[in-house]
Amino acid sequence: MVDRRGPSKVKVVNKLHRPGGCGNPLWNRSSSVGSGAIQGRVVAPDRRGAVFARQVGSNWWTNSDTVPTSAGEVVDLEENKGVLRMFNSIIDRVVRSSWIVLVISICGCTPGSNELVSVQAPDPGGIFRIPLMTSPPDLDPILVSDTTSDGVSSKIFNTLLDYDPDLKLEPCLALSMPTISSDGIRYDFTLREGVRFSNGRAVTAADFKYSLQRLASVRSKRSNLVEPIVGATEAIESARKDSSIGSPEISGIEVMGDRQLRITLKQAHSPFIYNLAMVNTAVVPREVVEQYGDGFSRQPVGTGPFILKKWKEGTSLSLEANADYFEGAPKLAGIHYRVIPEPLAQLEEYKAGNFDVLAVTQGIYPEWIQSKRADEVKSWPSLAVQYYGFNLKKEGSPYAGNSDSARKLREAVNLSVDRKFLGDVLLEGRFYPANGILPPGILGHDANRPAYAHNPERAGVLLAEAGYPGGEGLPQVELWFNSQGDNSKIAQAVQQDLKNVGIPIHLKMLDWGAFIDATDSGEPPFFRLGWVADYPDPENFLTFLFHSKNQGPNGNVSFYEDELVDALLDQSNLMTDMDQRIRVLQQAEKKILADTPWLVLLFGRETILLKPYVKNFNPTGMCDDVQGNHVRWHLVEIDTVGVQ
Amino acid sequence: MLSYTIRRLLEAIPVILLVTLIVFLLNAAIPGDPGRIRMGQRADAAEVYAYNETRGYNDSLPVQYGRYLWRLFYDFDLGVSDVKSGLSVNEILGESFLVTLRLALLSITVALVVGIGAGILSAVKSRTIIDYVSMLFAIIGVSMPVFWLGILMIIYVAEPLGLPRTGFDDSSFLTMLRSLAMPAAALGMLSSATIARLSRSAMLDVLTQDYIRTARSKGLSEKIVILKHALKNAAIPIVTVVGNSFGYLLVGAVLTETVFALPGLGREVVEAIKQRDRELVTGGILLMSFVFIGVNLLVDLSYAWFDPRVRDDRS
Repeated sequence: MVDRRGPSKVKVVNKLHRPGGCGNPLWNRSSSVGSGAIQGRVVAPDRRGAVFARQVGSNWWTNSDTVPTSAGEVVDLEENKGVLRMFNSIIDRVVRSSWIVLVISICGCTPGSNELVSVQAPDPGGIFRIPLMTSPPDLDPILVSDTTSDGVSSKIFNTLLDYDPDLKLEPCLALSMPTISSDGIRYDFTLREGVRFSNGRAVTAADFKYSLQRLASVRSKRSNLVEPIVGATEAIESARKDSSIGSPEISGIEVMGDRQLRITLKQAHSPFIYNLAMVNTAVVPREVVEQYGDGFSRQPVGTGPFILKKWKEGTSLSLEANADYFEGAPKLAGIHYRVIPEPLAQLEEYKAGNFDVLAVTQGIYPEWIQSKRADEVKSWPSLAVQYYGFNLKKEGSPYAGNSDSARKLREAVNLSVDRKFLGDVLLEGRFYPANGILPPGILGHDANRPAYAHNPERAGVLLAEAGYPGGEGLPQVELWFNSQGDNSKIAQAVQQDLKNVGIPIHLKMLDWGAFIDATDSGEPPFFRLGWVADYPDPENFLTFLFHSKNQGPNGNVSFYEDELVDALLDQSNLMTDMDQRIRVLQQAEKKILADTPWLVLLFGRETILLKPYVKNFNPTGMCDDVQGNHVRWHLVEIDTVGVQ
Repeated sequence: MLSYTIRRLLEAIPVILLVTLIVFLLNAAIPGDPGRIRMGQRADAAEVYAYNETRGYNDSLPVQYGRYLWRLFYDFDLGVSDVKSGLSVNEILGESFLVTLRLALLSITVALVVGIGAGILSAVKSRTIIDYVSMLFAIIGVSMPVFWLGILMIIYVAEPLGLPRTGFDDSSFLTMLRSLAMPAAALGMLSSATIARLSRSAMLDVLTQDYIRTARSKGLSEKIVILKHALKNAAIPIVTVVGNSFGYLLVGAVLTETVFALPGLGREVVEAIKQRDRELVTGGILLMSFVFIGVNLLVDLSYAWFDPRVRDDRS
C-alpha cells in the first residue's frame, strides 16, 4: 500500500554520515536515512575518454558517537565502542588487501561516485549504439507485432508511404501520394525509380503485390491490414485452408506496369492509407523469401538504409549501412544493438559512453533532468493512452451495464482518482492526466477539453446517488493488471484513492500471457490496459476499442456496445472529406466518454537520453521510442566537433 | 562401477519421462494462449486459432504429448520456438547452455578457490582474527542477493578493473574470460560463502582426528598434513555441496544472467515461460533435468574416488 500524502518520516542524521554515501543517486533516493554531502572533484578524462567524478574520503564512519539504525533512530555508541574498535581494526587490515574494491562495493560506500557526466564519443561516421531490453522476435515484416521488431525492421525495409515529422503521410517508395478515385475505392501508385533491394535487384510493382498478399497468409500477424482490399477475405480463407500458400492471390491488388500498382478496396475505407506506412506492408524480394522460408525473419533483405550484418540471438544485432540506399548512403557506418534486460545496467553502460541513446525508465528522469547533462533528455508526446476499463457485460459487477446506478458509479470512480499525482509524482512527470481517449498528435484530439478533475466530494455524492452512500453495501470488485513496469504502484495508488471515497477494490496481478487471455475472454470486471497508435487516426483507437463488432479478442475488451457510436464509426470510414470525418469521430468519442466505459488515466511523453554528438535524430512520435522507428536514419550522424 | 553408472543412467529415463509429462500438464494448466501471445494484441480470434492449428495446439493434450515424445526420441528434435521464428529449440538451448556452462565452470572455480581456501585458513587459524574475518565474509556472501551484488559490481568494479560491464563476447578466449569475470565472481562469491563455512567445519572435525595427530608426530610438514591427509578426508561433504552448487549454477543463474546481460539458459527459459513459448519451456526444463541428473551422478561417482570404502561397497 502506498501512503502517498503523509509527510515523509525520514530522520536525517547530520552528525554521522559516510562521506559520499552511495555514489549512485538511485540508491541515495531510496535510502531512508539522509546521506551526507558528496565530496568530489572531477578528474581528467581517462585513456578511454571517460570522465568520472571522484569522491574523496576513506573513513568508514566519522568521529561521531551516533549511528543510525534501520528505523532511523539515533543510538549512543558509547557503550558499543569496543565493538567499533574491533570493527575499525578489521577494516584497517582489510583495507590494505586486494579485496578493497569488492569490500567497499559490498558495503555500498564507493570510491568512485557516478556523476552523470561521462562521455565517450565514437568516431564520426561510426556505429550508433542502441540498448534493447529483449532481442527482436521477428524481422519479417508480416510477423512484426512488437515495438522492438518494428524498430529494427523499419531500418531494413521501406513502405510505400511514411510520416514526416508532423505526422503527415508522405511518399516513401511511392513517387508521390496515390491518386485516389472520387469514391475512395481505388488507389493508384507510381513507384519511385531506381529503388533496389540490398541484394541488388530493382524493386517492381510485382514485388509490392507479392509482399501485400503475404499479409493474407496464415503466418501473417496482420491480415487485418489487407482485409479492406477486394478479394482479401477469400485469400485469407484459402490460406487458412492451405497453410502452405505463402502469398495468396488478392484480386484487388493489380500490377499495372513495372512501376504502377493499383489497389482496389471493397468500399471506401479512409484509414486504409495509413496501413501502407506500417512496416508490415514493406516490400520484400520474392526470391529471397522463397529461398529462406521461415528463415527470412533471420536473414531479411529489404530496401532500407541498413542491412542486417550479424544477429546473435539474445546478445546483439548489427546493421551496416546500405551504400545503395535510394535516398543516399547513410552517414552512419552502422547500428549496433545490444540486449541488456536490466535498465540499471543499461544506464551504467550509457553513462560509460557505451550507448548513444537510452530509454528513460523509472528513477532516471528526475536525476538526469537536474544534472549538468539535462540537455541529453529528449521528449515528445507518445500517441498512447493508459486506462482502466470496466467490463460492461460482467455479471455481478455493480459497474456493468447501462443502468443509472452503474453509470454514476463509473463516473464516481473517474472523479476519485488523482491523475496529476500519478503523473507528476509516481511517474516522475513523464505522464500527465488524460482528457479523453484520443491523445495529442492523433487527429481529432480535443486540446480544449479539460482533463478529468480530481473531485472526491462529487464522487461521494454520485456514490450516494447510485445507492451506496459512503460506499456502504458496494461490493468489492477486482482490478486486474499485468506485472510490468509501473502498473503495480499505479494500481495501489488508484486503490487508495478509491478507498478514500469508499469504493473498495481488490488488486489482482497476473503476467502478460495470463492477463491478456483473461481480458480477451471478459473475465476481469475491471482491468488495466493501454493502447498505442498504429497510425495517427482516431479510427485506430475508436473502432478497435469501442465498435461492437470488435468485442472480445478483437480489441473491445470493455464489451462496450452503442448503436450510435457504431453508426458514427462506420460512417466515418466511408467519408473522404477529412474535416467532416474528424468531426464525426469526435462526436463518437464524446458519446463514449459520456458512457464512461473506462477510467481514463494518463497520456504520456516518450522520453529518451541522447548523446549530444548525435545529430538529425528527429523522431516523429509515431511509434518512435529509443529506436526512432520513423526517424530518417540515413541522415542521422555522429558529430563530435565541439562536444564537451 | 560401470554397472552402477549404467543403472543410474537407466533410472534417469523414467524421471525424464515424468518431467516431460509434468511440464506438458503445467503448460496446459497455465492460463495464457500461446497463439494470442505469438500473434499479438492486434490479431483477431480467427488468426489466433489459425496459428494454434498450424502448431497443433488445438489438438488434445495426449495427442500433443505423443507427438512430442515421438519427435524427441525418434529425431532428438525439441521442436521450433513459438516466439523466435525460424529458430529451433535445439539451437536456442544449445547456444544458451554453452554460455551458462562456461559461467558455471568459472563460478565454481572461483567458489572452490575462495571457499575452500577460506575454509582451510579458518580451520587452521581457528579463533583468530583471520578466522573471524573469513567467516564474516562468508556470512555477508551467503546473505547477499546476487542481483544487488551484480549491480554494485557493474557500477563500482567494472571501471577500475577495466572489465566490460555487461554482455557476452566469445570472439576469443580472452574476451570470453573478461566478459564472464564479473558475473562469475558475483555467482562464485555466493557459493564460496557456503563452501567456506562447510569446509571450515569439516576441516575442524578432521583436524582433531587421531590420524592427523599421527601424521604430525611422524614429522610430516603442515602443508602435507592439511592438503593430503585432512582435506581429502573432509572432502565428501564439500563435494556434495559443490556438486549441488554446480547444478544450481547451471540451471538457476537467471538473475546473474539478467543483470549482466548474458544469454544463458536460465534467462532463456524464464523468458520463454513469460511468452508461453511452449516448446522452448518444455525443452529447457528437460535439459535442466538432464543436467541435474548428470551432476548428481558425477557427485555420486566422485565419492568413490575420495573414499575407497564407497567404491568397495558399490563393487
